[in-house]
Amino acid sequence: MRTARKLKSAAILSSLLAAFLLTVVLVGHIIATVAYRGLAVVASNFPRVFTDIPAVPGAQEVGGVGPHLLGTALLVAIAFSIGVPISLLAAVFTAESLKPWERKLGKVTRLMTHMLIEFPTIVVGLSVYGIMSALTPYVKTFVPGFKPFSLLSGAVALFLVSVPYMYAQVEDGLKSIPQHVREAAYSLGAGRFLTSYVLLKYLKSTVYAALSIGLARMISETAALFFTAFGSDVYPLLDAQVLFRPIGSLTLAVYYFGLTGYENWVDLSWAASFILFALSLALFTVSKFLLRGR
Amino acid sequence: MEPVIHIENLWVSISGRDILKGVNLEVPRNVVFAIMGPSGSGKSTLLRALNRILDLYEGLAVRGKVVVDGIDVYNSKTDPSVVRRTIGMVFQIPNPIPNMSIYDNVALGPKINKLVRSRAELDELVKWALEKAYLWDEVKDRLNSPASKLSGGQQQRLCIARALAMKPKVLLMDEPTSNLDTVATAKIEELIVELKKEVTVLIVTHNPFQASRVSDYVAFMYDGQIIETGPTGQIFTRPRNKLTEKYITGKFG
Repeated sequence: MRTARKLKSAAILSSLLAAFLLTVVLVGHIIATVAYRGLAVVASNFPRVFTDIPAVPGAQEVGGVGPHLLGTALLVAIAFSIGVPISLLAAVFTAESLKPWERKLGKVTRLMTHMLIEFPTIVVGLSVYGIMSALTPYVKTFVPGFKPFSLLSGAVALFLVSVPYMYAQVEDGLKSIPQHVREAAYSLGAGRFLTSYVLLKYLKSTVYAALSIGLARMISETAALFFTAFGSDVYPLLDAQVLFRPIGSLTLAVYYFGLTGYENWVDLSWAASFILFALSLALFTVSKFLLRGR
Repeated sequence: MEPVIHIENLWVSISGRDILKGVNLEVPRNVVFAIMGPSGSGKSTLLRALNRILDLYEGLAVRGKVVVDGIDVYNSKTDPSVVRRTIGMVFQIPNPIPNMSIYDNVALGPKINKLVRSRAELDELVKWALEKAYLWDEVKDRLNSPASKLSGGQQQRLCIARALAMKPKVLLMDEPTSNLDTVATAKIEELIVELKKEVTVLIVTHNPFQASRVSDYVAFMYDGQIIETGPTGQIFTRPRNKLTEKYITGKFG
Protein backbone atom coordinates (compact mmCIF):
# COMPACT_ATOMS: atom_id res chain seq x y z
CA MET A 1 0.00 0.00 0.00
CA ARG A 2 2.70 2.42 1.10
CA THR A 3 4.95 1.52 -1.82
CA ALA A 4 2.11 2.05 -4.30
CA ARG A 5 1.42 5.48 -2.79
CA LYS A 6 5.09 6.41 -2.94
CA LEU A 7 5.34 5.24 -6.56
CA LYS A 8 2.26 7.26 -7.50
CA SER A 9 3.66 10.34 -5.79
CA ALA A 10 7.05 9.89 -7.52
CA ALA A 11 5.33 9.49 -10.91
CA ILE A 12 3.28 12.67 -10.47
CA LEU A 13 6.31 14.59 -9.22
CA SER A 14 8.51 13.50 -12.10
CA SER A 15 5.87 14.30 -14.72
CA LEU A 16 5.44 17.76 -13.16
CA LEU A 17 9.19 18.25 -13.28
CA ALA A 18 9.34 17.06 -16.90
CA ALA A 19 6.54 19.46 -17.89
CA PHE A 20 8.32 22.30 -16.10
CA LEU A 21 11.65 21.55 -17.80
CA LEU A 22 10.00 21.25 -21.20
CA THR A 23 8.33 24.66 -20.74
CA VAL A 24 11.57 26.27 -19.57
CA VAL A 25 13.51 24.77 -22.48
CA LEU A 26 10.91 25.78 -25.09
CA VAL A 27 10.36 29.31 -23.77
CA GLY A 28 14.09 29.71 -23.18
CA HIS A 29 14.80 28.56 -26.74
CA ILE A 30 12.32 31.03 -28.23
CA ILE A 31 13.64 33.93 -26.15
CA ALA A 32 17.26 33.00 -26.84
CA THR A 33 16.73 32.64 -30.61
CA VAL A 34 14.80 35.91 -30.91
CA ALA A 35 17.39 37.69 -28.79
CA TYR A 36 20.35 36.14 -30.62
CA ARG A 37 19.07 36.61 -34.17
CA GLY A 38 17.12 39.82 -33.65
CA LEU A 39 19.32 41.70 -31.22
CA ALA A 40 22.33 41.32 -33.56
CA VAL A 41 20.40 42.97 -36.42
CA VAL A 42 18.95 45.70 -34.18
CA ALA A 43 22.36 46.45 -32.63
CA SER A 44 24.24 46.64 -35.91
CA ASN A 45 21.59 48.89 -37.49
CA PHE A 46 20.80 51.01 -34.47
CA PRO A 47 19.03 53.46 -34.48
CA ARG A 48 18.11 53.40 -38.19
CA VAL A 49 16.29 50.07 -37.84
CA PHE A 50 13.58 51.96 -35.92
CA THR A 51 13.16 54.73 -38.48
CA ASP A 52 14.17 53.54 -41.96
CA ILE A 53 11.98 51.81 -44.50
CA PRO A 54 13.07 48.28 -45.52
CA ALA A 55 15.99 48.08 -47.96
CA VAL A 56 15.37 46.53 -51.39
CA PRO A 57 15.38 42.71 -51.33
CA GLY A 58 18.81 41.16 -51.74
CA ALA A 59 20.69 44.34 -50.81
CA GLN A 60 23.65 44.40 -48.41
CA GLU A 61 21.88 46.61 -45.84
CA VAL A 62 18.61 45.65 -44.12
CA GLY A 63 16.97 49.05 -43.76
CA GLY A 64 14.44 49.35 -40.99
CA VAL A 65 10.89 48.74 -39.81
CA GLY A 66 10.00 52.39 -39.17
CA PRO A 67 6.68 52.32 -41.08
CA HIS A 68 5.71 49.07 -39.35
CA LEU A 69 6.50 50.46 -35.92
CA LEU A 70 4.41 53.55 -36.68
CA GLY A 71 1.65 51.32 -38.10
CA THR A 72 1.53 49.21 -34.95
CA ALA A 73 1.45 52.37 -32.82
CA LEU A 74 -1.45 53.85 -34.82
CA LEU A 75 -3.44 50.60 -35.02
CA VAL A 76 -3.04 49.92 -31.30
CA ALA A 77 -3.71 53.54 -30.29
CA ILE A 78 -7.02 53.61 -32.17
CA ALA A 79 -8.15 50.11 -31.16
CA PHE A 80 -7.15 50.62 -27.53
CA SER A 81 -8.73 54.04 -27.12
CA ILE A 82 -12.05 52.74 -28.45
CA GLY A 83 -11.70 49.31 -26.84
CA VAL A 84 -11.07 50.38 -23.26
CA PRO A 85 -14.21 52.45 -22.66
CA ILE A 86 -16.38 49.97 -24.56
CA SER A 87 -15.11 46.91 -22.69
CA LEU A 88 -15.41 48.66 -19.31
CA LEU A 89 -18.93 49.93 -20.07
CA ALA A 90 -20.04 46.53 -21.37
CA ALA A 91 -18.61 44.78 -18.31
CA VAL A 92 -20.35 47.23 -15.97
CA PHE A 93 -23.60 46.86 -17.90
CA THR A 94 -23.66 43.06 -17.71
CA ALA A 95 -22.31 42.69 -14.17
CA GLU A 96 -24.34 45.50 -12.63
CA SER A 97 -27.61 45.06 -14.51
CA LEU A 98 -30.63 45.45 -12.25
CA LYS A 99 -33.76 45.33 -14.38
CA PRO A 100 -34.91 41.93 -15.78
CA TRP A 101 -34.49 43.02 -19.43
CA GLU A 102 -31.00 44.29 -18.65
CA ARG A 103 -30.07 40.99 -17.06
CA LYS A 104 -31.30 39.11 -20.15
CA LEU A 105 -29.42 41.41 -22.52
CA GLY A 106 -26.38 41.07 -20.26
CA LYS A 107 -26.51 37.28 -20.53
CA VAL A 108 -26.67 37.47 -24.35
CA THR A 109 -23.74 39.94 -24.41
CA ARG A 110 -21.68 37.66 -22.15
CA LEU A 111 -22.40 34.61 -24.31
CA MET A 112 -21.57 36.42 -27.57
CA THR A 113 -18.34 37.85 -26.18
CA HIS A 114 -17.20 34.49 -24.88
CA MET A 115 -17.92 33.04 -28.32
CA LEU A 116 -15.87 35.80 -29.91
CA ILE A 117 -12.89 34.84 -27.70
CA GLU A 118 -12.96 31.37 -29.26
CA PHE A 119 -13.10 32.66 -32.86
CA PRO A 120 -9.94 32.20 -34.96
CA THR A 121 -8.60 35.72 -35.42
CA ILE A 122 -8.18 35.25 -39.17
CA VAL A 123 -11.95 34.76 -39.37
CA VAL A 124 -12.45 37.97 -37.38
CA GLY A 125 -10.21 39.77 -39.89
CA LEU A 126 -12.05 38.26 -42.82
CA SER A 127 -15.43 39.28 -41.38
CA VAL A 128 -14.22 42.85 -40.89
CA TYR A 129 -13.01 42.85 -44.49
CA GLY A 130 -16.41 41.55 -45.62
CA ILE A 131 -18.29 44.21 -43.67
CA MET A 132 -15.98 47.00 -44.82
CA SER A 133 -16.28 45.89 -48.44
CA ALA A 134 -20.05 45.81 -48.21
CA LEU A 135 -20.06 49.27 -46.65
CA THR A 136 -17.61 50.81 -49.11
CA PRO A 137 -20.11 51.82 -51.87
CA TYR A 138 -22.37 53.56 -49.33
CA VAL A 139 -19.66 55.21 -47.20
CA LYS A 140 -17.75 56.35 -50.30
CA THR A 141 -20.49 58.82 -51.15
CA PHE A 142 -19.59 60.98 -48.15
CA VAL A 143 -16.03 59.68 -47.39
CA PRO A 144 -14.46 59.44 -50.87
CA GLY A 145 -11.23 57.66 -49.84
CA PHE A 146 -12.91 54.84 -47.89
CA LYS A 147 -11.39 51.40 -48.63
CA PRO A 148 -11.66 47.96 -47.02
CA PHE A 149 -7.85 47.52 -46.74
CA SER A 150 -7.06 50.28 -44.29
CA LEU A 151 -5.82 51.45 -40.93
CA LEU A 152 -9.45 51.78 -39.86
CA SER A 153 -10.26 48.14 -40.76
CA GLY A 154 -7.11 46.97 -39.00
CA ALA A 155 -8.02 48.91 -35.86
CA VAL A 156 -11.57 47.49 -35.94
CA ALA A 157 -10.15 43.96 -36.26
CA LEU A 158 -7.76 44.51 -33.34
CA PHE A 159 -10.64 45.96 -31.35
CA LEU A 160 -12.75 42.85 -31.99
CA VAL A 161 -9.89 40.52 -31.12
CA SER A 162 -8.98 42.13 -27.81
CA VAL A 163 -12.18 43.65 -26.41
CA PRO A 164 -13.66 40.25 -25.44
CA TYR A 165 -10.58 39.54 -23.29
CA MET A 166 -10.68 42.89 -21.52
CA TYR A 167 -14.44 42.65 -21.09
CA ALA A 168 -14.38 39.09 -19.71
CA GLN A 169 -11.65 39.87 -17.18
CA VAL A 170 -13.32 43.02 -15.85
CA GLU A 171 -16.75 41.39 -15.80
CA ASP A 172 -15.42 38.40 -13.83
CA GLY A 173 -13.76 40.85 -11.45
CA LEU A 174 -16.98 42.80 -10.92
CA LYS A 175 -18.91 39.57 -10.35
CA SER A 176 -16.41 38.49 -7.71
CA ILE A 177 -16.84 41.66 -5.62
CA PRO A 178 -18.36 40.61 -2.28
CA GLN A 179 -22.02 41.59 -1.98
CA HIS A 180 -21.30 43.67 1.15
CA VAL A 181 -18.85 45.90 -0.74
CA ARG A 182 -21.35 46.34 -3.57
CA GLU A 183 -24.12 47.18 -1.09
CA ALA A 184 -21.80 49.70 0.62
CA ALA A 185 -21.14 51.43 -2.69
CA TYR A 186 -24.85 51.58 -3.59
CA SER A 187 -25.85 52.72 -0.10
CA LEU A 188 -23.94 55.97 -0.66
CA GLY A 189 -26.74 57.16 -2.89
CA ALA A 190 -24.79 57.37 -6.12
CA GLY A 191 -26.35 56.33 -9.40
CA ARG A 192 -25.28 53.14 -11.10
CA PHE A 193 -22.64 54.85 -13.20
CA LEU A 194 -20.82 56.42 -10.25
CA THR A 195 -21.23 53.30 -8.14
CA SER A 196 -19.60 51.30 -10.91
CA TYR A 197 -16.76 53.81 -10.91
CA VAL A 198 -16.24 53.14 -7.19
CA LEU A 199 -16.37 49.37 -7.81
CA LEU A 200 -13.87 49.64 -10.68
CA LYS A 201 -11.56 51.62 -8.40
CA TYR A 202 -11.90 48.79 -5.89
CA LEU A 203 -10.89 46.41 -8.69
CA LYS A 204 -7.98 48.56 -9.82
CA SER A 205 -5.48 45.71 -10.14
CA THR A 206 -7.89 43.50 -12.11
CA VAL A 207 -8.69 46.38 -14.45
CA TYR A 208 -4.98 47.12 -15.03
CA ALA A 209 -4.29 43.43 -15.66
CA ALA A 210 -7.23 43.19 -18.10
CA LEU A 211 -6.12 46.26 -20.00
CA SER A 212 -2.52 45.07 -20.29
CA ILE A 213 -3.68 41.69 -21.59
CA GLY A 214 -5.80 43.52 -24.16
CA LEU A 215 -2.91 45.76 -25.14
CA ALA A 216 -0.52 42.80 -25.43
CA ARG A 217 -3.00 41.01 -27.69
CA MET A 218 -3.35 44.05 -29.90
CA ILE A 219 0.41 44.46 -30.27
CA SER A 220 1.00 40.79 -31.04
CA GLU A 221 -1.98 40.08 -33.32
CA THR A 222 -1.14 39.06 -36.90
CA ALA A 223 -3.84 37.01 -38.61
CA ALA A 224 -6.61 39.55 -38.06
CA LEU A 225 -4.55 42.14 -39.94
CA PHE A 226 -4.01 40.16 -43.18
CA PHE A 227 -7.33 41.17 -44.71
CA THR A 228 -7.68 44.49 -42.94
CA ALA A 229 -4.55 46.59 -42.38
CA PHE A 230 -3.07 44.59 -45.28
CA GLY A 231 0.49 45.86 -44.74
CA SER A 232 2.68 48.52 -46.26
CA ASP A 233 6.44 49.07 -46.32
CA VAL A 234 6.36 52.83 -46.68
CA TYR A 235 5.41 55.59 -44.28
CA PRO A 236 1.77 56.59 -44.56
CA LEU A 237 0.98 60.20 -45.36
CA LEU A 238 -0.38 61.52 -42.09
CA ASP A 239 -3.26 63.46 -43.63
CA ALA A 240 -7.03 63.24 -43.36
CA GLN A 241 -7.05 60.08 -45.50
CA VAL A 242 -4.62 58.13 -43.30
CA LEU A 243 -7.45 56.08 -41.81
CA PHE A 244 -8.43 54.76 -45.24
CA ARG A 245 -5.06 53.56 -46.54
CA PRO A 246 -3.37 50.20 -45.95
CA ILE A 247 -0.77 50.28 -43.20
CA GLY A 248 2.07 48.04 -42.03
CA SER A 249 2.54 46.51 -38.61
CA LEU A 250 5.43 44.81 -36.82
CA THR A 251 3.67 41.45 -36.82
CA LEU A 252 2.96 41.66 -40.55
CA ALA A 253 6.63 42.59 -41.07
CA VAL A 254 7.74 39.47 -39.17
CA TYR A 255 5.45 37.34 -41.30
CA TYR A 256 6.05 38.80 -44.76
CA PHE A 257 9.81 39.39 -44.50
CA GLY A 258 10.32 36.01 -42.83
CA LEU A 259 8.62 34.22 -45.73
CA THR A 260 10.92 35.66 -48.41
CA GLY A 261 14.22 34.00 -49.28
CA TYR A 262 16.17 37.28 -49.19
CA GLU A 263 18.73 37.23 -46.45
CA ASN A 264 18.43 40.94 -45.60
CA TRP A 265 14.64 40.68 -45.31
CA VAL A 266 14.87 37.57 -43.14
CA ASP A 267 17.23 39.55 -40.91
CA LEU A 268 14.67 42.36 -40.82
CA SER A 269 12.03 39.83 -39.80
CA TRP A 270 14.21 38.82 -36.85
CA ALA A 271 14.74 42.45 -35.94
CA ALA A 272 10.97 43.04 -35.97
CA SER A 273 10.50 39.91 -33.80
CA PHE A 274 12.99 41.24 -31.30
CA ILE A 275 11.33 44.67 -31.17
CA LEU A 276 7.94 43.00 -30.64
CA PHE A 277 9.40 40.83 -27.89
CA ALA A 278 11.01 43.85 -26.20
CA LEU A 279 7.72 45.78 -26.40
CA SER A 280 5.81 42.91 -24.77
CA LEU A 281 8.46 42.56 -22.09
CA ALA A 282 8.33 46.30 -21.39
CA LEU A 283 4.55 46.13 -21.15
CA PHE A 284 4.75 43.17 -18.78
CA THR A 285 7.29 44.98 -16.60
CA VAL A 286 5.29 48.21 -16.51
CA SER A 287 2.07 46.40 -15.55
CA LYS A 288 3.92 44.45 -12.83
CA PHE A 289 5.33 47.75 -11.58
CA LEU A 290 1.88 49.36 -11.56
CA LEU A 291 0.43 46.40 -9.69
CA ARG A 292 3.18 46.07 -7.12
CA GLY A 293 1.97 45.67 -3.57
CA ARG A 294 -1.70 45.52 -4.55
CA MET B 1 -45.67 63.93 15.58
CA GLU B 2 -45.46 62.55 12.04
CA PRO B 3 -43.45 59.27 11.98
CA VAL B 4 -40.24 59.38 9.92
CA ILE B 5 -40.81 55.83 8.63
CA HIS B 6 -44.22 54.51 7.68
CA ILE B 7 -44.54 50.94 6.39
CA GLU B 8 -47.90 49.64 5.25
CA ASN B 9 -48.64 46.02 4.38
CA LEU B 10 -45.16 45.35 2.92
CA TRP B 11 -44.69 42.05 1.10
CA VAL B 12 -41.31 41.09 -0.27
CA SER B 13 -40.47 37.94 -2.15
CA ILE B 14 -37.15 36.95 -3.70
CA SER B 15 -37.10 34.30 -6.42
CA GLY B 16 -40.68 33.31 -5.57
CA ARG B 17 -40.05 32.90 -1.82
CA ASP B 18 -41.99 35.20 0.54
CA ILE B 19 -39.60 36.86 2.98
CA LEU B 20 -41.77 39.67 4.35
CA LYS B 21 -45.46 38.92 4.77
CA GLY B 22 -47.47 42.08 5.31
CA VAL B 23 -45.27 44.19 7.58
CA ASN B 24 -46.79 47.32 9.17
CA LEU B 25 -44.55 49.65 11.16
CA GLU B 26 -44.25 53.28 12.22
CA VAL B 27 -41.02 54.77 13.53
CA PRO B 28 -40.97 58.17 15.29
CA ARG B 29 -38.25 60.75 14.65
CA ASN B 30 -34.94 60.87 16.55
CA VAL B 31 -35.24 57.60 18.41
CA VAL B 32 -33.33 54.34 18.35
CA PHE B 33 -35.71 51.70 17.08
CA ALA B 34 -34.53 48.10 17.35
CA ILE B 35 -35.82 45.20 15.28
CA MET B 36 -35.04 41.90 16.94
CA GLY B 37 -35.84 38.36 16.03
CA PRO B 38 -34.28 35.00 15.28
CA SER B 39 -32.19 34.34 12.15
CA GLY B 40 -34.29 34.11 9.00
CA SER B 41 -37.16 36.17 10.38
CA GLY B 42 -36.73 38.84 7.68
CA LYS B 43 -35.08 41.61 9.74
CA SER B 44 -32.26 42.34 7.29
CA THR B 45 -34.65 42.15 4.32
CA LEU B 46 -36.91 44.71 6.00
CA LEU B 47 -33.93 47.03 6.47
CA ARG B 48 -32.81 46.58 2.85
CA ALA B 49 -36.35 47.23 1.64
CA LEU B 50 -36.28 50.69 3.20
CA ASN B 51 -33.38 52.06 1.13
CA ARG B 52 -34.00 49.87 -1.93
CA ILE B 53 -30.70 48.02 -1.63
CA LEU B 54 -32.98 45.07 -2.31
CA ASP B 55 -33.07 46.25 -5.92
CA LEU B 56 -29.66 44.55 -6.30
CA TYR B 57 -31.23 41.11 -5.76
CA GLU B 58 -32.42 39.03 -8.69
CA GLY B 59 -36.05 37.88 -8.77
CA LEU B 60 -37.32 40.59 -6.41
CA ALA B 61 -41.03 41.41 -6.03
CA VAL B 62 -42.26 44.12 -3.64
CA ARG B 63 -45.83 45.06 -2.71
CA GLY B 64 -47.06 47.60 -0.19
CA LYS B 65 -46.12 51.11 0.81
CA VAL B 66 -42.96 52.50 2.38
CA VAL B 67 -42.65 56.21 3.15
CA VAL B 68 -39.39 57.55 4.58
CA ASP B 69 -39.14 61.25 5.49
CA GLY B 70 -41.93 62.02 3.06
CA ILE B 71 -40.44 60.01 0.16
CA ASP B 72 -42.69 57.31 -1.26
CA VAL B 73 -39.86 54.75 -1.62
CA TYR B 74 -41.52 52.36 -4.09
CA ASN B 75 -43.33 54.94 -6.21
CA SER B 76 -42.31 54.34 -9.82
CA LYS B 77 -41.27 58.00 -10.11
CA THR B 78 -38.92 57.81 -7.12
CA ASP B 79 -35.22 57.64 -7.92
CA PRO B 80 -33.58 54.96 -5.73
CA SER B 81 -30.44 57.13 -5.46
CA VAL B 82 -32.48 59.88 -3.76
CA VAL B 83 -33.84 57.28 -1.30
CA ARG B 84 -30.33 56.03 -0.51
CA ARG B 85 -29.08 59.58 -0.03
CA THR B 86 -31.75 60.16 2.62
CA ILE B 87 -31.14 56.84 4.37
CA GLY B 88 -27.64 55.90 5.48
CA MET B 89 -26.69 52.29 6.07
CA VAL B 90 -24.16 50.42 8.19
CA PHE B 91 -23.65 46.74 7.53
CA GLN B 92 -22.94 43.59 9.51
CA ILE B 93 -19.41 43.27 8.13
CA PRO B 94 -17.43 46.51 8.42
CA ASN B 95 -17.05 47.39 4.75
CA PRO B 96 -14.94 50.45 4.09
CA ILE B 97 -13.70 50.50 0.48
CA PRO B 98 -10.40 48.73 1.26
CA ASN B 99 -8.00 50.44 -1.12
CA MET B 100 -9.20 53.93 -0.23
CA SER B 101 -7.84 56.13 2.54
CA ILE B 102 -9.74 56.89 5.74
CA TYR B 103 -10.44 60.41 4.48
CA ASP B 104 -11.60 59.25 1.03
CA ASN B 105 -13.97 56.68 2.50
CA VAL B 106 -15.82 59.39 4.43
CA ALA B 107 -15.54 61.95 1.63
CA LEU B 108 -16.79 59.57 -1.07
CA GLY B 109 -20.55 59.99 -0.47
CA PRO B 110 -20.53 63.81 -0.22
CA LYS B 111 -18.21 63.99 -3.24
CA ILE B 112 -20.20 61.81 -5.60
CA ASN B 113 -23.48 63.35 -4.52
CA LYS B 114 -22.03 66.88 -4.78
CA LEU B 115 -23.03 67.82 -1.25
CA VAL B 116 -20.10 70.20 -0.84
CA ARG B 117 -18.75 73.04 -2.94
CA SER B 118 -15.15 73.33 -1.80
CA ARG B 119 -12.32 71.26 -0.41
CA ALA B 120 -12.51 73.24 2.85
CA GLU B 121 -16.19 72.41 3.19
CA LEU B 122 -15.42 68.73 2.53
CA ASP B 123 -12.61 68.72 5.12
CA GLU B 124 -15.04 70.23 7.61
CA LEU B 125 -17.70 67.62 6.85
CA VAL B 126 -15.24 64.71 7.09
CA LYS B 127 -14.03 66.00 10.46
CA TRP B 128 -17.61 66.45 11.68
CA ALA B 129 -18.60 62.91 10.64
CA LEU B 130 -15.50 61.34 12.19
CA GLU B 131 -16.11 63.26 15.42
CA LYS B 132 -19.72 62.14 15.54
CA ALA B 133 -18.53 58.54 15.07
CA TYR B 134 -16.05 58.92 17.96
CA LEU B 135 -13.16 58.23 15.59
CA TRP B 136 -11.57 61.62 14.96
CA ASP B 137 -9.08 61.50 17.84
CA GLU B 138 -7.85 58.07 16.78
CA VAL B 139 -7.33 58.85 13.10
CA LYS B 140 -6.76 62.60 12.77
CA ASP B 141 -3.01 62.11 12.24
CA ARG B 142 -3.35 59.42 9.60
CA LEU B 143 -6.33 60.42 7.49
CA ASN B 144 -4.47 59.41 4.34
CA SER B 145 -3.57 55.88 5.41
CA PRO B 146 -5.64 53.02 4.01
CA ALA B 147 -8.92 52.25 5.76
CA SER B 148 -8.01 48.57 5.74
CA LYS B 149 -5.27 49.26 8.32
CA LEU B 150 -7.87 50.12 11.01
CA SER B 151 -9.10 47.58 13.57
CA GLY B 152 -12.52 45.96 13.09
CA GLY B 153 -14.21 48.29 15.58
CA GLN B 154 -12.57 51.35 14.05
CA GLN B 155 -13.59 50.21 10.57
CA GLN B 156 -17.19 49.93 11.70
CA ARG B 157 -17.07 53.43 13.22
CA LEU B 158 -15.56 54.62 9.93
CA CYS B 159 -18.56 53.12 8.13
CA ILE B 160 -20.84 54.99 10.54
CA ALA B 161 -18.92 58.20 9.78
CA ARG B 162 -19.23 57.47 6.06
CA ALA B 163 -23.00 57.13 6.41
CA LEU B 164 -23.27 60.26 8.61
CA ALA B 165 -21.30 62.36 6.14
CA MET B 166 -24.29 62.15 3.81
CA LYS B 167 -26.36 63.89 6.54
CA PRO B 168 -29.08 61.23 6.31
CA LYS B 169 -32.45 61.50 8.03
CA VAL B 170 -32.45 57.81 8.92
CA LEU B 171 -29.56 55.47 9.70
CA LEU B 172 -30.08 51.76 9.13
CA MET B 173 -27.78 49.43 11.06
CA ASP B 174 -27.75 45.75 10.20
CA GLU B 175 -26.31 43.89 13.21
CA PRO B 176 -23.44 46.39 13.35
CA THR B 177 -21.63 44.70 16.24
CA SER B 178 -22.02 41.03 15.39
CA ASN B 179 -18.43 40.81 14.12
CA LEU B 180 -16.84 42.86 16.92
CA ASP B 181 -15.42 42.09 20.38
CA THR B 182 -17.09 43.30 23.57
CA VAL B 183 -14.98 46.47 23.95
CA ALA B 184 -15.65 47.59 20.37
CA THR B 185 -19.33 46.64 20.79
CA ALA B 186 -19.65 48.78 23.94
CA LYS B 187 -18.18 51.75 22.12
CA ILE B 188 -20.56 51.39 19.18
CA GLU B 189 -23.57 50.96 21.46
CA GLU B 190 -22.62 54.15 23.31
CA LEU B 191 -22.34 55.86 19.94
CA ILE B 192 -25.75 54.61 18.77
CA VAL B 193 -27.48 56.18 21.78
CA GLU B 194 -25.67 59.45 21.10
CA LEU B 195 -26.53 59.38 17.37
CA LYS B 196 -30.28 59.75 17.84
CA LYS B 197 -29.72 63.48 18.40
CA GLU B 198 -28.76 63.64 14.71
CA VAL B 199 -30.75 60.88 13.03
CA THR B 200 -33.38 58.25 13.56
CA VAL B 201 -31.57 54.94 14.05
CA LEU B 202 -33.16 51.68 12.97
CA ILE B 203 -31.04 48.83 14.23
CA VAL B 204 -31.43 45.14 13.51
CA THR B 205 -30.09 42.78 16.13
CA HIS B 206 -30.47 39.14 17.02
CA ASN B 207 -29.36 39.99 20.53
CA PRO B 208 -32.32 41.02 22.74
CA PHE B 209 -29.95 42.39 25.39
CA GLN B 210 -28.45 44.78 22.89
CA ALA B 211 -31.94 45.90 21.90
CA SER B 212 -32.79 46.56 25.55
CA ARG B 213 -29.54 48.51 26.07
CA VAL B 214 -29.69 50.87 23.11
CA SER B 215 -33.26 51.30 21.92
CA ASP B 216 -36.25 53.45 22.82
CA TYR B 217 -38.66 51.29 20.84
CA VAL B 218 -38.46 47.70 19.78
CA ALA B 219 -40.22 45.41 17.32
CA PHE B 220 -40.09 41.64 17.45
CA MET B 221 -40.12 39.86 14.09
CA TYR B 222 -40.82 36.26 13.36
CA ASP B 223 -41.35 34.48 10.04
CA GLY B 224 -41.59 37.67 7.96
CA GLN B 225 -44.07 39.39 10.26
CA ILE B 226 -43.92 41.92 13.06
CA ILE B 227 -45.27 40.06 16.07
CA GLU B 228 -45.16 42.87 18.56
CA THR B 229 -43.92 46.44 18.79
CA GLY B 230 -43.80 49.10 21.50
CA PRO B 231 -41.58 51.08 23.89
CA THR B 232 -38.53 49.02 24.89
CA GLY B 233 -39.30 49.14 28.62
CA GLN B 234 -42.78 47.81 28.06
CA ILE B 235 -41.79 45.01 25.66
CA PHE B 236 -39.06 43.76 27.98
CA THR B 237 -41.16 43.91 31.16
CA ARG B 238 -44.72 43.22 29.97
CA PRO B 239 -44.69 41.55 26.53
CA ARG B 240 -48.19 40.91 25.24
CA ASN B 241 -47.31 38.06 22.92
CA LYS B 242 -46.13 34.61 24.05
CA LEU B 243 -43.55 34.41 21.24
CA THR B 244 -42.02 37.73 22.27
CA GLU B 245 -41.84 36.61 25.86
CA LYS B 246 -40.16 33.35 24.86
CA TYR B 247 -37.64 35.24 22.71
CA ILE B 248 -36.60 37.80 25.31
CA THR B 249 -36.35 35.21 28.06
CA GLY B 250 -34.13 33.03 25.89
CA LYS B 251 -36.61 30.15 25.73
CA PHE B 252 -37.05 30.40 22.01
CA GLY B 253 -36.93 27.35 19.74
